[in-house]
Amino acid sequence: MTASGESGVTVERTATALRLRITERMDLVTAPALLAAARKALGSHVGRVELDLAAVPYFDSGGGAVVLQLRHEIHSRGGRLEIVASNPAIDGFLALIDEQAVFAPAPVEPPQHFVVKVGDAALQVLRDARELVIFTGELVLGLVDAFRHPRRIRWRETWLYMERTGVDGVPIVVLISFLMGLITAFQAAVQLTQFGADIFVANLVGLSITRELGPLMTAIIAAGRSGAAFAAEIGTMKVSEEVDALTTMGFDRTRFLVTPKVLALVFMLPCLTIIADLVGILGGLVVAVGGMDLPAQVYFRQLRTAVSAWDVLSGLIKTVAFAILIAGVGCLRGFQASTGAESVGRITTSAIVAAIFLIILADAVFTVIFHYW
Amino acid sequence: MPTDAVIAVENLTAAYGERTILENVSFRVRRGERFVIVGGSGCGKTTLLRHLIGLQRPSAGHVWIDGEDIGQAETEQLRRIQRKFGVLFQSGALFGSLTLGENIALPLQEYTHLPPTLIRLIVRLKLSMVRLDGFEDFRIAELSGGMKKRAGLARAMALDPGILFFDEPSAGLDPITSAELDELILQINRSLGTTIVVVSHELPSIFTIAERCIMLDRSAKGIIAEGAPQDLRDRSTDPRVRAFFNRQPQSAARRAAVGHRNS
Repeated sequence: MTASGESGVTVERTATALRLRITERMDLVTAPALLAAARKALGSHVGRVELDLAAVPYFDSGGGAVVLQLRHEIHSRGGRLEIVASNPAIDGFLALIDEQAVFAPAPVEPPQHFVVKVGDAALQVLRDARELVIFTGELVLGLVDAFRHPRRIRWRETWLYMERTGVDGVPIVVLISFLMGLITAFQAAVQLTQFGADIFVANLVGLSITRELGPLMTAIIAAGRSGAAFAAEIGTMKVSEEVDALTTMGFDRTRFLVTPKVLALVFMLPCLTIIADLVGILGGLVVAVGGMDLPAQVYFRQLRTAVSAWDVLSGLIKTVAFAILIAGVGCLRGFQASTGAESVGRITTSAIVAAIFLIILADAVFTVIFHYW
Repeated sequence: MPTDAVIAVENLTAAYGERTILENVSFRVRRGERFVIVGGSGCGKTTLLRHLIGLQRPSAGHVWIDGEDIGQAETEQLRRIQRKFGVLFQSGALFGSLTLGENIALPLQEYTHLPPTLIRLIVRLKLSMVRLDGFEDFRIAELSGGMKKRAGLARAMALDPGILFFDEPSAGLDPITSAELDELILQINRSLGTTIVVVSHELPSIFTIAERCIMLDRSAKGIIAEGAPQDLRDRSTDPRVRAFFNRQPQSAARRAAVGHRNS
């Protein structure tokens, strides 16, 4: 009795078994159709199935998957599948596979108890905190050492980082602070003209730029440019074992990798902020002269009475703290890289987010301190 | 081009800018052959491999893969040619953001229309071929160096390519793991008829795998010897070739070369 199937699968019932004959390519393309055709041909047959693959012109892992899947299904119904005819290519392929291993259940890790998970998380927080304390201590010691023995500072690297964090950052700082001055002045102008108090635009722009916006925007730009660069650089060094090499050669990782970066940013961030202050005030001037018909001399005279040296200085003092935070958190995150490209990406993101958070937090603290001074 | 040559390189010249690495290199690889490209460091082995797999374009000459010129192919055609072979990179080059199983499933998901159950089955089948069964849910970072190589091999074989390229398969492996990988390469070649092209400078590996090899040389900027490695070791008249296959220091080769010239 012969029943013809579809897509190159024929089925034949013999006295003892069902004989399945496949005559077409068994590859990654035909596998789903073949499997469906074979299942249909078998129906609900229970018992011995003979598989004849002698006429299969091409066989790859798609075919292998079909054979294994069929055998698995027939076995689980209590039947048996035997390959009664094949060719050398198929034999070679199947010889490479350990069929039991393919269907062995994947080793499952027992689910962790809730208490264990909480404990692990708590320990992780403690480890992170410990790392933070150690890093902060090393950083402080490194900076103290740098001030006591300035000759021990790695000046070559420090100059390089000063160029990268400072000089290279000037264009973007100029652009953003100019726009900040412009925007502040515009927003103020709308309110001030209502009261005929146009002249006070100089006070508003001057004070908000020098005390807050200049330092803050510059620090945030530095966090995105330099903090991220520090984290990615040290992270990549960690992944490629360069940090380990430094340590085993007996060098102090702080002196070599951290201090130059922190010092460079501590020197350059106030400089960038001064530029930002000046350009921001010029942005205000453009609005005052162009939009409010105030003469430039009037704007500057008003600015001199409104903005004191302390306003500028207090802004610059903050940036020193911002610089330490940005560079410090960048380096710390860099050392926390574990393995691979993915972790460098993660720690870089984390360095920027943490730096911006710390900048805002420190700014709040400074505002309170300066208020009660 | 004869039909039994699955790879044919014709007068290939490879250069980075002004610096010429290889000049006028020609050779053929037969279907199902185990072919090894050998040579000392800096001789251009890796450059040659990068040209064979279409990562770099020849400055002159042709690289025929299965009758199509990969050196001239554009995007779509290039991708179609590249699907005919698998590459095992030196460090495995597995994607760290995916698990081992997902790494192998990726080409199957992208290039076939198989249902997820069959893909899972094929992934396990490939893993069992490289004896990594049970590791499919492992993250790449959790695998050892040898396991990464075998995993990379499983991924290279995901679409059952007719050609497999290996870049320094023994690099960074201990002798046992390295010998096991060689054995696996032989088995794949014998059972599946896959053409094997290996770039290597590890002698034990070369002697195990190669049916035929070409040796590149830095100063010659091309092939200085071709043949079975055993023949080259025992019968080559070129002192550089003998020094390489007999693992002698360069100074000995130079002495031999001087003696050669004098005699």
